[in-house]
Amino acid sequence: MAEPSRNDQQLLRQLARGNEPAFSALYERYQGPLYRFVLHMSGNSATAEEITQEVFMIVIANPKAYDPAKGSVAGYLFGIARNLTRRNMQEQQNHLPIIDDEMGDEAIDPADDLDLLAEVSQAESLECLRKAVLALPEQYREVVVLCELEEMTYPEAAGILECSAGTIASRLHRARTMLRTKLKGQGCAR
Amino acid sequence: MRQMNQSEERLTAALRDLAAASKQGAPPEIGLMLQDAFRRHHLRRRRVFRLRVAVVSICFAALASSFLLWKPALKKDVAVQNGPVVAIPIQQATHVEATSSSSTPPPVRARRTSRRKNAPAADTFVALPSFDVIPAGDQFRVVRLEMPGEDLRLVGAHVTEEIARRRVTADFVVGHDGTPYAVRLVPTNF
Repeated sequence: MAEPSRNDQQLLRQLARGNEPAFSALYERYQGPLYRFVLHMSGNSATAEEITQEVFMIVIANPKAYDPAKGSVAGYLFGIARNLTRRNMQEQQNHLPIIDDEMGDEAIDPADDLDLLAEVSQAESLECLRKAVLALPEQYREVVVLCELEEMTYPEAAGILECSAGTIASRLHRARTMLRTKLKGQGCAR
Repeated sequence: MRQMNQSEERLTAALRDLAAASKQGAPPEIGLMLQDAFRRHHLRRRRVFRLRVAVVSICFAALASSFLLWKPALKKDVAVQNGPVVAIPIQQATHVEATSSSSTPPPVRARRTSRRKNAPAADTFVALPSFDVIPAGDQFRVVRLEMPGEDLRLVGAHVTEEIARRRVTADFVVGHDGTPYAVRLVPTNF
């Protein structure tokens, strides 16, 4: 992670001097992860496109805003995307599909889940899973998106979300429990 | 326990499927638009930079020229006060152009604005840097002399190598005792 991070910093420095290939390289490296992050956080591809674009516009306009002492370039970019997504979602709160966020702490019988998840893993049930992910509270949704969908390590996700790896692990554990409960509650399985 | 593990694995697999089924990145037109924005931003930035450099250069040039306008006058005073007396090696006096009976010396411009910076100006008198203060009430005459260019150097005039190698005709402002105070080259030398 240290090597790409240093490489990213070089790209950002070159970008600040007006080097277009450096910008293209940085864009190609991060547009996908950023786009998917926003897409899974917001559930809206238009929002994902808009925010991905906005993140890079901010980088173009003020590349020197990045402070290497505060973390990696990836963390900086995801941090911008995260804040913009949060703001966007607050603005559109009333338009988001409302799914019951109430999370009971009751234990789930794993045996009941098996069939359910077997169904969910089918392509036709992915929409159900997507809705369940979207219905997770934001802090849990973030860890699911980063660690499960983007397959980041705990330290990487911790760097982006500015918390400890232990917090990521516990949030992820709880998020998975909530997901199972939601899937069961939505009755996605036929 | 085994069932729980299977449940976890299936949830993980379902999430991987969801990630794979989602759009993988922003549309290419966003990348093109951002590249265009990057180019425009840096074009504008460079223009602003050049404009700033031009403004600073103009300010600097204005300051420098105003300084230079003041400095020769000061130099002249110092030279006139401190300069040693040098005899004029007159070789051939050809013509006495004018005799001034007033106490006001002919206009002497100490500032060298000619393109030939090291030669006495063709149209204006240049103060010789190495003579005593002009005594008040002294009478001045303008004497035209033909002499080797090299001899001009002996009286303290700055001459180019080209002029030093040939004979030149010069007008000297001299006091009643023959002390030369200023010189100008007769335009036929050029």
